Amino acid sequence: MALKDYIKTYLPLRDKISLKPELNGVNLLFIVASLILIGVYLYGVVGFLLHGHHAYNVSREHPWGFLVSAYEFFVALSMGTIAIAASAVFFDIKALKPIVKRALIFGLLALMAGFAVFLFEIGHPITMIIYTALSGHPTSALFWLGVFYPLTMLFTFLTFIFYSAGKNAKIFAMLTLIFANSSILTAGSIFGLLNNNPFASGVFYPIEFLLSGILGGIFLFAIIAKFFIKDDSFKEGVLYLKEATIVIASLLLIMYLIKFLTAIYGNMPGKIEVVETIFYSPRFWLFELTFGIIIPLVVAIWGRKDQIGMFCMASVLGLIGLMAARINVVEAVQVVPKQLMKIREYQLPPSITHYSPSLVEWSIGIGAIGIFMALLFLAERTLKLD
Amino acid sequence: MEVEVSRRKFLRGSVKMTILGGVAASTTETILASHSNSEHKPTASNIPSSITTKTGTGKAKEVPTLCEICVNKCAAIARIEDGIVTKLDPNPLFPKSKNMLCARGNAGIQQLYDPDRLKYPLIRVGKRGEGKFKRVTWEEAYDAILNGTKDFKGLKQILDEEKNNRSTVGYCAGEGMAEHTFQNWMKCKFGSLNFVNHGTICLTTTIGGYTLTIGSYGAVDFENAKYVIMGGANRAEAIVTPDTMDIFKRTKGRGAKLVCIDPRFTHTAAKADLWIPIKVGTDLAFVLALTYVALTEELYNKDFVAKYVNGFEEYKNHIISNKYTPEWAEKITGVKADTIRKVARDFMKAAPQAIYYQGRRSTFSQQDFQLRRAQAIFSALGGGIDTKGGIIFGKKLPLGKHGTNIPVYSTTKDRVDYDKAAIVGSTGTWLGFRDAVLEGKPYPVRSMFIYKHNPMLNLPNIDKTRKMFEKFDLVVAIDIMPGDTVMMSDVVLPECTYLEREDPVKSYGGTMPSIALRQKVIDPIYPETKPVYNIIKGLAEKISKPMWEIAKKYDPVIQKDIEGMTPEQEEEYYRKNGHDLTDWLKAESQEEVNEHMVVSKWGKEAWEILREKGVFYPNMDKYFKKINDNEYQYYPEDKKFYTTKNGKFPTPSGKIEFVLPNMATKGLDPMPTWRDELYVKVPKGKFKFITGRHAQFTQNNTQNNPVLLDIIPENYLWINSRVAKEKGIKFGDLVEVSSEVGKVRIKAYPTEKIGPENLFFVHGFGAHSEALTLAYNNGAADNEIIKDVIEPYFGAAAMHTTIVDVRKV
Amino acid sequence: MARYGMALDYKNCINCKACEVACKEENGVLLGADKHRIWVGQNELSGEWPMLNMSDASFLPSQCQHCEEAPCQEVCPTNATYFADGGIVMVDSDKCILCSYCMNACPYDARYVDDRTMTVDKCTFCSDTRLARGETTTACQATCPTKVRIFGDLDDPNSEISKVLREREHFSLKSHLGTKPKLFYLI
Repeated sequence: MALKDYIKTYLPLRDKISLKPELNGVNLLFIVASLILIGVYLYGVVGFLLHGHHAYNVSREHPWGFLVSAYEFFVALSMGTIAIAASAVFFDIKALKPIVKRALIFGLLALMAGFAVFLFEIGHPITMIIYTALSGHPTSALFWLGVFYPLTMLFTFLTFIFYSAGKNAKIFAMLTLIFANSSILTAGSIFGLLNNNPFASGVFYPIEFLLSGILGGIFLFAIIAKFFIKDDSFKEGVLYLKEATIVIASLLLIMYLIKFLTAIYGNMPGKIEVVETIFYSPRFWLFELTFGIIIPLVVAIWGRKDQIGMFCMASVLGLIGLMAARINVVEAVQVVPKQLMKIREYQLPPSITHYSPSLVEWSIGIGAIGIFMALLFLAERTLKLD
Repeated sequence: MEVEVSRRKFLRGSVKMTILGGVAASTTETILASHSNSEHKPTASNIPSSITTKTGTGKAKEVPTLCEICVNKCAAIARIEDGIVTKLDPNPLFPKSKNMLCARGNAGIQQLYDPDRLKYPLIRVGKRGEGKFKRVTWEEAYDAILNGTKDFKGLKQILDEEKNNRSTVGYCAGEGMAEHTFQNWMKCKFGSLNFVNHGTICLTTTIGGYTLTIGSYGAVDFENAKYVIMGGANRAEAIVTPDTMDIFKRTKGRGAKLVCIDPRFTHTAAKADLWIPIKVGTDLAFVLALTYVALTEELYNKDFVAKYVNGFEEYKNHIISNKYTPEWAEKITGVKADTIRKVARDFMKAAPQAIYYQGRRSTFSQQDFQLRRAQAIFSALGGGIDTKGGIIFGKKLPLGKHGTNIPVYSTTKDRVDYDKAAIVGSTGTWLGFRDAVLEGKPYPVRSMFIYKHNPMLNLPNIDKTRKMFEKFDLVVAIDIMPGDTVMMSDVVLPECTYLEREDPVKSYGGTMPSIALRQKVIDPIYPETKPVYNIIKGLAEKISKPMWEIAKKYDPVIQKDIEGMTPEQEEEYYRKNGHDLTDWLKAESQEEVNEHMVVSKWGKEAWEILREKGVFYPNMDKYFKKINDNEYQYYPEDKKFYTTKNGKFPTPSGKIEFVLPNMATKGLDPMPTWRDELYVKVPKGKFKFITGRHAQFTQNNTQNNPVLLDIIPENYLWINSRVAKEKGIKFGDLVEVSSEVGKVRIKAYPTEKIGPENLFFVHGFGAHSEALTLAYNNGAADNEIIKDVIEPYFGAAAMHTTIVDVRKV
Repeated sequence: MARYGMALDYKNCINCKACEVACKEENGVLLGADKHRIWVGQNELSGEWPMLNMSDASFLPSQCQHCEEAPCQEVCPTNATYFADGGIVMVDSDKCILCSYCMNACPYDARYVDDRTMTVDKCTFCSDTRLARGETTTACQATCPTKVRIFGDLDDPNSEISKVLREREHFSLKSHLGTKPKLFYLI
């Protein structure tokens, strides 16, 4: 078969590719929102190009800023979505099948959006690509991320095209599942392996990343289901999602409770400051906890079993909660300064590291959502995802 | 403090004052070095392209020199790569500085490359203080000094109007190796007697106190002292070599006990074994009470007192009859009577290896002279004078002299401040001098020559100083930076920095005496700057004959002498009697003079060693040994000069004087006496202001140094936390401190390291000169609010007597 | 092979900042409050004047500890942070991607960003300046007025640092983290 036929078989392009959208209410909102956000993103990029790293509010004591949180958000979202989709393929979960294709692609695109943020967070992206390959360091979690992401992306893409072509994609799905979970656990272990940080080090963050990532994936599935599935084919899937939500959200709640209690028990230095700064702030109990976990949980338990509407709204709140969770985790590891003495006569002694993102950081981080939305639009228009 | 911004200004290197008709300010290339590495790129004018330069690993030129940022003259070795000074390293050979270089010593490089430096002579064209100058050549500058311009008068006119009273030209200088060059020429050749220097705004009372008591200010042997009382001397932040290095290696249970008496918890207090907070200005009561304990409990060294002291009985009676008991002192000083007893007992137990430290920047109150006397007396009671572990006189290696042929002008009047204090020596009393200038009595001082001195910022009551400057007809400043005083000048003569010049070789005494040399490490980077030797030489050449003409016109003795002489005979008279103002400066450069001074006493080989290594002392090759990277032996223990007077002290009588009967004739106390009327009490709700040092700044010399300002960008007001809380003042809040002479605005630093009755901020900030990019309006100047109070013995400025108030703005 | 470390007689330290300035001058470090390779820490004293707590009053110089089990070296993805000769932890600025992982992994706040190369920088024990020229002292050691620092080879039993560590009690910072720091504070 000629190359053109291979592509036709495996890459499920639509027969007619037109970039003209249907002009109804939701679509218009979507388009306007994504254009605005892309504009915001470009503003941030221009700011970065003009001032370099000085456009950010990161400092010696707080080197990871909002861009790292935003990037982690997209990564968690994408890996979670991909993991669920790959499981659906591998374990033959019929209920989720209708949106598996979308989920795989949208997961990939979320990762792209994450890279759009990461590109401006890392100081030297070209050097990174060259030297992670040439002199990569196996004890570094970031190195393994550099291994797992490409593998996940590769196998996700392979799963997608084999699945779309109707072929047996189970092997690829299994590999996708393995590598997606590895990626997300590795991302969590960036924090978990920080031995000098009593709050961060340990198993909590890798597992929390995995669970909240999968929860995020569930939320994205719910949003896809609401806006992209026009028929009833996903009715069972909704139930499935809700049950999954209940399990994972409950697990997360228990984990948070134990993490919180062990941090305040005994007023341990290094932990108690984090609790006081992060856990008592609205960003945690309102956004991460209430929006991110409790509202979806409540809606999953008591919402109408077959209706997706409320659950979709809860999912949107859930995604906001996921973003807040990412901000919280990056803050938590940097809240306590490592050096507690004054180094200058005329200064206050270091207490809690204060940080608020600069306008450029907000722009790039939030604007990347616009990139994601634009990529979704392109994917919808060019690929056959039903 | 935007050091980043100023770094770019640094690279552009523009001088901030308006220079009319002048060439573009500096020859620095405008290299935007923000993204290049830190290795220096030699530019057309050999100025580095970044503020700090990384040293290279290649071959470099290494030249020994002596630092000049403060008074200590630590020996340094300059590393020069590609014509740029990249680092100043300590020179291990100098026994006084003991192989160290403090923060300021390292930052000397930035003084050399400061883009705000004076680069060529200037003369004023606007109003005085406006900052409008015109760039001129040296010849034009000298001409302006001699003949004046339309904006100011010249020497010729002034001396003509004052009928050759040479003292109408006042002159002042700051401490420096070349201070003597300037001072000696102005006094002995030019002939003015109105000289003031930093003495009476610094250490005159303590020098006077110790000299009149034990014969000399002396030094200390901190390597062997067991008990040291430091009253206010903040050696951890006001570094004096080798005292600082010696004592702080031995406190905290490692051989010496340091008692720090200071109203503020300074770094010295942090390193001391006992910190005694005391009410400001009450130190004298403390020492008198210590003396009382030592005398009544008979703890003093009876042997020493019997052999070497005059007036012991009289002093003992004085102390006891005045009832200077610890309880009495407790009420005045706030120090517990038991503490006073303990200190006195511990001191005497450790004596003779016990020292009541002389201190340096003194004159805390009007009773300061008596305080220093009482300190010296108390030290002497322990017997620790001229002995190991005590106050030592040491030995000083001689150098050849450079004689001066001094002309005599009978028209020269006595100094104007002669009656402003009891003992007015050759360095006068600055505040008294200022008052006399303002009064215009007994005669007007029409001109002022300033060398390396910044009266606009270093004298209490800046407002008054400004008024004094407005009275002069001719102000000439020799300086390296366009500071506040330069801005008030008429003729500005730029000196090159210490790294670009050779200064008079100097001999440093003590237990391990040596001779040290400052030689230039690179040629002046601005070719129109010169060492003061050459500046004075040029001036002398210009004004010698015109001054002689004026002398002939008015001086009756000279007129009588040369009556009937032929021109040749007159020329001979002119030369023989020292009227040739250039004869003292016949050598082409300081190097020639130095060579003569060293070779005449120590021989040619010594001179060569001195030039090659920067330091010389006899048997250096045998005695100097490296013990390890941190320790060197300069003299073997048995060769150190601990006891050099052998029982005959440098006083006129040969004995230590507890009583000074001459004082009584001037209406002053012959023995240290507590005078309650001279003590300034702090009114309720107000504060007494004190000033002091941080180890990163030397007065105003460092005010524009970016590397040092990197550490402390501006000064802050120390205010007690509880007082600050009451007034609603938090860290960093802008507050206004006001006294009866002025007010300043400064940021607040609430701390418990200072008591509720006091306020402090460090000296060396608050410049008003716009030409200093980093120093302009940076922080607050303490002398803006310090009241000018003249202490009666030497006319020194009592700087800790000002009552201030503070409020949030 | 040498194993370099530094002993600090920190009771001598008078917090004059000579070492900080010498380090910046020797190594061409940029100015800026957070751009310091070495520093001297001090506490704000507790207590109320005049009853201040003397135990708060010590000055603690610190810098990169050149740990034997350096967490910064473990987490660097491109091996930009590596062990150079003598056990000195160095940063190869050609390989550094500014992911800042090492800045968070370091327990001692030793690292900062050099604005010129946009890579991470820290104390190098003057290995590319003074040691490369054959000198045996670091800039901070040479300049110190009270000679707080003793730099030397821990593997040489005759070196000054080995001698002083044998003869005097000492402690290290955050030793419970297992980083095996090579800065020793002499008691």
